Amino acid sequence: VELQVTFSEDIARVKLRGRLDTPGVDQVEAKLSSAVLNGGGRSAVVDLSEVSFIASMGLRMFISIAKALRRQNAMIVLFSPQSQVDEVFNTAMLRNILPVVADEAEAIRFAAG
Amino acid sequence: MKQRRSALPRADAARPPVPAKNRWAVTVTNDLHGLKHGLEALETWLVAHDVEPETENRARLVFEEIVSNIARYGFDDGRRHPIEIAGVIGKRDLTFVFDDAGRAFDPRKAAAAQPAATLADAPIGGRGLLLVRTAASRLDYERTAEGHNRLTVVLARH
Repeated sequence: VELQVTFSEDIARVKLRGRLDTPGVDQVEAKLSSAVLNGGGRSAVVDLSEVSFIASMGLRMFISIAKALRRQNAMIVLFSPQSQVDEVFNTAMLRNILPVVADEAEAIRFAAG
Repeated sequence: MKQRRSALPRADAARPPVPAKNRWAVTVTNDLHGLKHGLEALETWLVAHDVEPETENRARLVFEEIVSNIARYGFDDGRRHPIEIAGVIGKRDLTFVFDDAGRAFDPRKAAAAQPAATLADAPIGGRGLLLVRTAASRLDYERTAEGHNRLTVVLARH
């Protein structure tokens, strides 16, 4: 899994590329958590357009980061999931607990509150 | 991990025999290394049979969730154990049989994660079973006389 994180004044932009299965999450979780949770209380928007697969370990990673960000009064917003990833979000009822939106602009608006 | 030939799943006497080329079997260890190589072998098999992407995605999801669940919770002695997986590709469905000697676990009866209304109420994990039950068109489980879990998962092809 490839990870890119860039910071602007009040937001962390994250781009993930690959499969968020157990091997993929094992590879990326520590780096992603460290980057986002040490972002000075910035919210994070995560581009999933090049994530081709997600399993429960990927969901666990995002929920764990979301809970940690909440303690910093920040949030994580996911955007542009591929259809098969979106289907897993629907099955797991992820939208009840995490914002998942269509594109980056909407994600940034959502994160800004 | 080693590729192997297996009698699993057994042919149904009421159906014509499944051609050998449509059968697949692999043995992986109950750890991250085993899961990773099992997923790679699964992908090779599915791609070679030109399985449609939506079915391939569900097959990958089921394989991932079941093998990782066995690796995490099946054994508590810290040792490596084999997990045997057999697959059959049919015209209408894809069948997997997972066999392990870990503690008895019937995923049809285990409690799956309940939907949470808020992030604060949501458990971090526990969604794998829900994903497997949703992806599968049929789940069968038996605890064998040898003390193995044998889980059969049928995925409709579409």
